[in-house]
Amino acid sequence: MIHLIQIEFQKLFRRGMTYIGFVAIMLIVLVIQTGMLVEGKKLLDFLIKSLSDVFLLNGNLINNYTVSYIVLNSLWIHIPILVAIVAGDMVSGEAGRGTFRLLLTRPVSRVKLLTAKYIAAQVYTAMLVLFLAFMSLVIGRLFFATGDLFVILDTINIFNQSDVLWRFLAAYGYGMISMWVVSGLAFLFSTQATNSLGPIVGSMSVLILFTIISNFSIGIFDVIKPFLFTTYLNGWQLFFADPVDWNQIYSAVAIMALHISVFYGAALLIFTRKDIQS
Amino acid sequence: MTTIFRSSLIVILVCFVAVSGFTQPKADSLIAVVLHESDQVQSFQADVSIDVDVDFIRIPVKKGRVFYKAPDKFRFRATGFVLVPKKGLDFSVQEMLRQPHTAIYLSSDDTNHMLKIVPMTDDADYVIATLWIDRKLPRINKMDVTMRKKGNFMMSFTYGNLPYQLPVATQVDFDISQIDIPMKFLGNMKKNQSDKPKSGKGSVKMIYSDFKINGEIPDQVFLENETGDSVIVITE
Repeated sequence: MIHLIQIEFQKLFRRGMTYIGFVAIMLIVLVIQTGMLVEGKKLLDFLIKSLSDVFLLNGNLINNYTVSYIVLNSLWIHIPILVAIVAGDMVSGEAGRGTFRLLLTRPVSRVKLLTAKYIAAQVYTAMLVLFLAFMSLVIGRLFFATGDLFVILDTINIFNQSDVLWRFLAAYGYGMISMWVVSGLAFLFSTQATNSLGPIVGSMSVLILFTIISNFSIGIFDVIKPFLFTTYLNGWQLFFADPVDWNQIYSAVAIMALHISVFYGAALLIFTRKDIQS
Repeated sequence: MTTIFRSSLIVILVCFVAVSGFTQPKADSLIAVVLHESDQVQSFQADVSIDVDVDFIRIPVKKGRVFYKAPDKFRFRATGFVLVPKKGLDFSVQEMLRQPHTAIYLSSDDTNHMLKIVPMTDDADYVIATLWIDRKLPRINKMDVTMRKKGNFMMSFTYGNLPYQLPVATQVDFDISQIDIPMKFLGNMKKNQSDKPKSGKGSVKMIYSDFKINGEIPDQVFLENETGDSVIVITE
């Protein structure tokens, strides 16, 4: 099984599109970091201008943590696209290239083959999120000093520097799980298609539709919102609330884990019964 | 009838002038005594913890150290980001009382004399202030200041057993209804742009400890430095 996964990784990293995600994240993060370095103070002054009527404000809020939070906020919409590009190609790419029939002549079960591909896709997703964390927290440190974190949620939350790192690590961990859901969906669509465009566009369409429903404040949608994975995608922000609502986090993680299992189970069911014609 | 009315008016005016003439020196002398007492403190430094209680701001209690040197050098030093109320931390109360003003004695209760202070200069940053001066000791227990632009600040001072009349705790209550943070700007879609703070009042409590009064404080302490700490320097 490990050998199968290794083969899948070799195939994965031989394809140019695999690197698109890393390059895109690197460029976007660098652009945001440069922007914040040049104009960040002006932006923050605008945001908290009215506070300065009552308070003397002091301390460096444009620091690596605040910028990393802004990066997370900005990128969480785009990472699913990058994830879907690769996960959507994992199975359908083989079908499109016509290598499946040859591949399945080997003495490997379809379950093992699909599971190896699935694990490769999910590890790639995890690597993408870890790369985002690396770019934000490690490379960002070259541009900015550390300091207290300034977050605007339902309230303005200011966290001591010593209370921040675990929140970021937890947020990236949560983000990884939420991206596994997106990756799982794209992978599921990938098992049904013979070219990679369909699964990528299909999973993005579902993502956009569900996101719209999740953000609409209409009564009829409120009934189905708890069942949509998109409702929980931005749940990483919960780690930056004070106090942290752990119950909400546990239930969100449980629902996302259920989605991951269902998507994987459905992909397995479809692939094992599929009539491979190319 | 007209004669009676005119006589009554004259009596009332005479009484008012007499009362004003009697109370005015009392108000001024009370302030003079308070200022004289505060002049006994030529310098001090103390640890301070700042607890901000505003319903739309969550910030941990911040600890720092304040330095003061007469007549007007003040410094606050802490690690990380700090929110300090514009009134109450420094010696702004004494500074305010040293500016040209008119003091009017209003009344007294069991604990305090109550005075109104009206600034006599155009550039004063406050419109009117109410002072509660202790009846037994030369110190200010409470002060309500209406600022020209920044709303209302109510400062309450608690005193301990220090040899000088320095507060060991100060609570500043202020108006926050005019504070409007553009919550949506950072992509927080859950927040309604028109959301205002739920309560119109906020408060900050500052508790002082480990006083060192009238000791030597080098002037370098009041200069900006590059340590990365939070520093608020107020020198007039």
